[in-house]
Amino acid sequence: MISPPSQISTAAYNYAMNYSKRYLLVAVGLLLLSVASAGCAKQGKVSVSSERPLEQKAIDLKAVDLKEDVMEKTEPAGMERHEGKSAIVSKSSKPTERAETALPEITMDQLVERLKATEAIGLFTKLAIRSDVIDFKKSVKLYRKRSAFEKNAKMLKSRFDGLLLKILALLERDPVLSKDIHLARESIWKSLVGVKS
Amino acid sequence: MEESGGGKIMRVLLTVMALIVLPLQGQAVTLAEDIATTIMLRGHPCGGSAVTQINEVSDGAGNRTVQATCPNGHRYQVDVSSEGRVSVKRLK
Repeated sequence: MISPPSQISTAAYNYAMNYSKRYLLVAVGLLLLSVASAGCAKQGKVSVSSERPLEQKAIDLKAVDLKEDVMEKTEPAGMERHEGKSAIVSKSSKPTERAETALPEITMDQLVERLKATEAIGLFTKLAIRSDVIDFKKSVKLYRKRSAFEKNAKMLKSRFDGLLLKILALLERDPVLSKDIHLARESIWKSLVGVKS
Repeated sequence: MEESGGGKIMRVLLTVMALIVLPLQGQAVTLAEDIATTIMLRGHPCGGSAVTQINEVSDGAGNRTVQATCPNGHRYQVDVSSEGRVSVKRLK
């Protein structure tokens, strides 16, 4: 502790020290507050940032495909390519196939179960969605019974897309489930109409 | 024991931080928001994300009736049957 100079009285010194302490505390508090708010903002961006690598990966894989095609065309016959130099992915496992298999497979029943479990939407909303899903399933069954499904498949698919869009809009607070549903929309549709992929 | 000025400030700051951070952590939907979403999901205008003046009645058969007022002034009745069917009608 610095001793007060003889010219300044002890009271004035104490007053000055108290104020400097206060300013220091306020500064530390503001720093903590800004760190906390930055952390919250980062947390909110998790879903967005987690989507980016997938998209980036898909783009990269397509680029590799194109690169391979170009190399195949330009390479003279009988010339061997060195592994790891130009081709990043082996020919046996096509990158596009791997990207497709990486997509989550969700059936309509699994979707209903996950919607039941989520806290992003309330009970009344869940019941309303359930009613919509039941109605949609009923109409699909009805068209199948009349053997008119193929004829009306386009209309049913657009109805399904509308229903899914509605669900995605409601799942603003559950980005993980929202993302999974968006990625698995085709598998949900297939499971609903009973088409084997 | 008397608390110093710095301690007081720190306590206030921590309280403020807790008030800012805690609502962001808990993201459960309130009944008012849930009912407003249900009304809009059934195609009725509501004019906001939460309703007010909620009256909930349930009978012995498992049917539930909720009456609520939207921010646009319209009053609605949400009926939930015992089978879980939801219907919304506007009250005059």
